[in-house]
Amino acid sequence: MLDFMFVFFAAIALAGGLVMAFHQSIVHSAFALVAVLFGVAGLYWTLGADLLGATQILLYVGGVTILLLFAVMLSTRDAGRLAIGRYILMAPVLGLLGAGLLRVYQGVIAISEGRELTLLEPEPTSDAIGQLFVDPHGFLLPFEVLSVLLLVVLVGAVTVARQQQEGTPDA
Amino acid sequence: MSPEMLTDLQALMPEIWLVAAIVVTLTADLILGHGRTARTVTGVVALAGVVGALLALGEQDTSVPARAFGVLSVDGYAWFFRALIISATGLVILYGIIFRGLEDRTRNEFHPMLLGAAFGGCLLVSTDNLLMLVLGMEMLSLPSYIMAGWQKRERRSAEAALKYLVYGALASGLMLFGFSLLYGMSGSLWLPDIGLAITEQWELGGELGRMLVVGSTVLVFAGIGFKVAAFPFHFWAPDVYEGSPAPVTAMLAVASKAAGIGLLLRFVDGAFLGMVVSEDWLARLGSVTAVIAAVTMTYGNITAVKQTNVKRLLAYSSIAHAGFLLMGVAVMLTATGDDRAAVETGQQATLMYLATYYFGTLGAFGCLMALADRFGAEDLDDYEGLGRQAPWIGVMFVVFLASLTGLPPTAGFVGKWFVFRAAISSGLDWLAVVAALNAAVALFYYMKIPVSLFLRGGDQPRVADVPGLGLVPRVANLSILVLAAATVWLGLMFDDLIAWVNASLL
Amino acid sequence: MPELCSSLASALMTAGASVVAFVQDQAPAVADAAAAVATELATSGAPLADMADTALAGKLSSYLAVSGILFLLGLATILTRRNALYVLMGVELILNAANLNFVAFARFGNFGLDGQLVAITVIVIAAAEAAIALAIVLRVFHDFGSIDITRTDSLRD
Repeated sequence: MLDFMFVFFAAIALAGGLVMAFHQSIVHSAFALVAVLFGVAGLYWTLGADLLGATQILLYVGGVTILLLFAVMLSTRDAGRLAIGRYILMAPVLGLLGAGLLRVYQGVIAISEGRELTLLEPEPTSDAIGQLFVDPHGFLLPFEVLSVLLLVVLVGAVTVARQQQEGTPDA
Repeated sequence: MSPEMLTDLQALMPEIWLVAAIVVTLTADLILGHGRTARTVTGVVALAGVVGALLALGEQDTSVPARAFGVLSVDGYAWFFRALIISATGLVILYGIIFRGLEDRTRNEFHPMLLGAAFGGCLLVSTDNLLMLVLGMEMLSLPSYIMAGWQKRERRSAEAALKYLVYGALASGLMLFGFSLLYGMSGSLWLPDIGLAITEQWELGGELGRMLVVGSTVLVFAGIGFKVAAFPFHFWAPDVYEGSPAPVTAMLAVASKAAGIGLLLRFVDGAFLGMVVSEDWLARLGSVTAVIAAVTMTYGNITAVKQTNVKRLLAYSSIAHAGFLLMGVAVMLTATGDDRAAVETGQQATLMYLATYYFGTLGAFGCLMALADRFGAEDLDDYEGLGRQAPWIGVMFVVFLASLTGLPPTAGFVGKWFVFRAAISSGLDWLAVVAALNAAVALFYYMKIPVSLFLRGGDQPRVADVPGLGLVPRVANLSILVLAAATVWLGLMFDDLIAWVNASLL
Repeated sequence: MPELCSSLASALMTAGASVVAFVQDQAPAVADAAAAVATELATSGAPLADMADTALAGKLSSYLAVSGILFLLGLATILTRRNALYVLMGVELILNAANLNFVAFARFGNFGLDGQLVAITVIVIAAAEAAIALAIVLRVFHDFGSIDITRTDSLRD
């Protein structure tokens, strides 16, 4: 069952990623990104990270991609042409990077296999994570900093995006 | 509230002042609107927040390193960088108030951005936990992206914001991916644990382990290199520095760069120079860093020579200074094995250089802004003859540029001297030679500014009516004067600075 | 599912081989380097296929395969597109790959909840970043009529 879920969500994520990277139209690509994020959320579930998967859907799929879609629809008139030349140019670069990444991952996997532990059964995480959020020596400070970050950034984003109304005096 | 919690909060007092100032400025903006009163109130509150933070910082005793909230390390090192970042932010707030390029309608919201970035920088330099590191980095970067695009009437400003955002997001994405590999390697978010794992993998992990160490280090250094604008991750800097409003450029060149260096040194010290080190790995990393330092300073200086826009010139020169700062890091890494004294020499050199760079760059940007404000001058051509019309600013500008070049008797000379000494003492003679050549090139292009200010241009005043100064510009000029005095004073009496830096080593 | 793994491995190999075919036409000098890469891919792709014997969802390597491909697709997007929004979408892929790494490492190493906390933090940061991106992209589009990062050219040497 877990295997089936893994394959299902991994296929969604990878198919979405492929479409995002290679589709002609940016609107299609943006929707494909939604599929990627959904697939990754599913993979979090198969890893026993239930709260994280839900957060991914709520915030990422529901928030980030909506903002990106807004940006796409408000800003792009012409469908960006797919420059085949660039792909051909970049293919060797990507091949090299991929080979390097493969070696790096092999290193990590070797370490992981060297540990030889029995995996713990995943438990529901929301309770433990909630406790960490209010634990002064756990996640309390990062949690508060995140709230300051959101406050500052959202005020700034609104200020920059707001159009200067013609005719209204500055003061 | 438990007594433990109180100690934690006390250690965090400067940051609490900054956050309080953010909240109060935003509330005042909501209540008072965009009028003149509101602008005065928010400006005063923002400055008061910075002063309060500095006072709180002054009360802290960091002789015994403490931890706050588990993730922050409140030591002398953090104290040094927090002092630099917060005081630079205070000056930038002052510059922002006199800077006319900002629209009145958006001035109130400008202060929270600056304070937020300072808050992020303070967290970034005090933590050795990867999670907090990511968070501090973004708390510093995200408001900076917005501030770069703050000038709505300037197309260049919007473009600078876009470039900064796109490249910055990419750099922090790569850094995060590198962190994930470090986490997989060590199973921990703490730099000391990661240091152990790196050493173990390099020595015992075989070829695959070495690939892993190299790969994750490259990715992490991409993120940090972006923040300090080191070659080859410097390419955003000239465009962003030129396009951003001048106060923001000053913030990026001083506070943001200081935070990046603070992060770099802590990361290098925690992850590479921990309890157990691998000499082979350090030797390789050290020589790569030395080469990067040499290329960074040479590239920055050579490109600066042909610039005519003064802001852009300072941008390239700040890339060159990143190279000098990296020299100290290269010395730290080349100092092999258990030789802690040699590691400290490198660290001391970087901190000394950073402190002197701080005065020179903040002052130079202050003068640049004063000239732009009164005469609308931006290019070298515009500067012709202005030195005779505004002699004070002109003379102070020369002092700061002399310091940035490294001429005695200014602070810059002391900083350069320490960096050179450190490089030679650890056998990096060739790097010292490259740096000396670079200093000569820097002299050439820096002196173009005084030449324009004082020696070019006719006797006719370029601007008939020099506007009188209000209160705030006077205060700003006074602060520039203080910076200039400090630059000269530190060039002659640097014992206190050395003592302070020595107390701030990791 | 063995098919997925072997198809991933063969996709990598085909990609490598097609690169070799192209480059050999163009420049023999580069061909050697690329051939080395393809051999690399072909030989080190083998462990991926071996995994088929055991359950997929119980192995770190199957998650790393997904995150690695997402990372490369993100890089491919960034390297080939000039539209600023495409670059930002590529960055989202990289962030997700990193998050997946964090969670997978924590799961298969019994590292506790740290990895998930990092992932949650990154998700919130990404949301803030998207808000900024929207604001800045709108400004740039308003001023330049394009968000091509090579076509906005008010800043030049």
